[in-house]
Amino acid sequence: MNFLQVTPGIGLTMLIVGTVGMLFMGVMLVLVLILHQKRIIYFNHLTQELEKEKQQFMLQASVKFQEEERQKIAADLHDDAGPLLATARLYLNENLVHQDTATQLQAIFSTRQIIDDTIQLIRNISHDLMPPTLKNFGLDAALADMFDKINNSGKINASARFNDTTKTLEDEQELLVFRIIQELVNNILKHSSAGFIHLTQNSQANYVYYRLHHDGKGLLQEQFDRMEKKSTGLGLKNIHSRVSVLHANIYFEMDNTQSYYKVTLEVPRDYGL
Amino acid sequence: MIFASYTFIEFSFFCLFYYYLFPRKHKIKLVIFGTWLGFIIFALLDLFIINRDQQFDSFAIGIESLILILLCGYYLYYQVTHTLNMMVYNTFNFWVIVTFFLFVSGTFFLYLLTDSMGDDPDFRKYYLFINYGANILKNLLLAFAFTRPFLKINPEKKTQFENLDLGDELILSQKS
Repeated sequence: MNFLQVTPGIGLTMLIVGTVGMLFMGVMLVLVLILHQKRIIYFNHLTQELEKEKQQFMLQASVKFQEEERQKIAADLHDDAGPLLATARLYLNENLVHQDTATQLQAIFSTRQIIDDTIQLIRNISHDLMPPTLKNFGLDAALADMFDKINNSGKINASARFNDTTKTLEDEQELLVFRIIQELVNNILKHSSAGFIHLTQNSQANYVYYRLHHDGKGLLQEQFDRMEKKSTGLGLKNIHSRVSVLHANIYFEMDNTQSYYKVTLEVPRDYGL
Repeated sequence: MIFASYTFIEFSFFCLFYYYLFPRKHKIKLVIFGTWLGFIIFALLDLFIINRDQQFDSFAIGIESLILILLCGYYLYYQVTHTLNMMVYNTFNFWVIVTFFLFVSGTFFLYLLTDSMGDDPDFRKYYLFINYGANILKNLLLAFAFTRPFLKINPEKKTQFENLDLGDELILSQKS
């Protein structure tokens, strides 16, 4: 018994038409699927690009806004609050000339001392918000200054070494790098109980590298990735945002001897902000 | 008997290849196993009971072709909907599946009619032409699949600053 009972004429027509038809449909199906996938991938890439651009824009706007605010506060404190307090001190000095009683003199001296302290305090705040060394002498000088101050405090042994002193980063990049390192150093000082902290700078090809070593309790990459996603830990979030804006990479590691932690910041030179 | 054995082996190897195309614990793996078992039972019944006297197992090949077309179609659909970061034609598996898809589509009517029209001299001419044509196409596509350098997925990422002086030795010497 045959599976299909067909006459030779119809059978041959069926064979030719069927074979050509099936092949045509097969090829068309494959082509349609490829074209369809091409479109899906195109739109997927487009959506990803738009999303990336949006995120980048938001990040830049947020960081820029923060920096502008800091600069504004710094300028206000330095230009307004400082001279006002200094004038008040002058008035008190004037009064001193016309007062006789010892008690009043003592009070006025005390007031002057307080105002002096206030002026100094405001100056310090201003310097913290926008380090003048960074603005006037660049990133390396600002970092060296920061490490000197930490070292002079006597709490921790801090040092910095700069192997490539040519200025290769833009001002905006330098500010972001300074903030990242400042935040990292603050975290080390606050949480790690380290005995020493050392910064090394070097460059290679199109990248500038900053590596922090410390012998305290540190973070590893996995912990950093996990913690910066949590709702707490604003400092780590800020580090992550600034690293993203710089198109930089940050690596949290421990050395092979397991005796100290190291954090490496890899900054591309010519990635325009 | 020879044709039937060829059908068993062809279908079994295709199912085995197809089975490993999908990720672990994918439901289709169970479907493939069920289909393979069902087809083997059916083909044995066809060979020894239903069409015992047939010269060519057209019925079994017809069913096999339909199953292969459906499986190939599903794989292509699956790849198109699940591969979003690269084109499907950049993989070896895609070309093997397309080869089988086109080969089975091209020879579907030929093998379906062979049992009933095998004695017709005109049919024999067409048989040789279509059969050789389909085999040449299959071999060309498979040769392309085996020789083409495909994209590597997930290349290893290595840091560029392995040998740069970033203070490691200094710190270690101070430590020691």
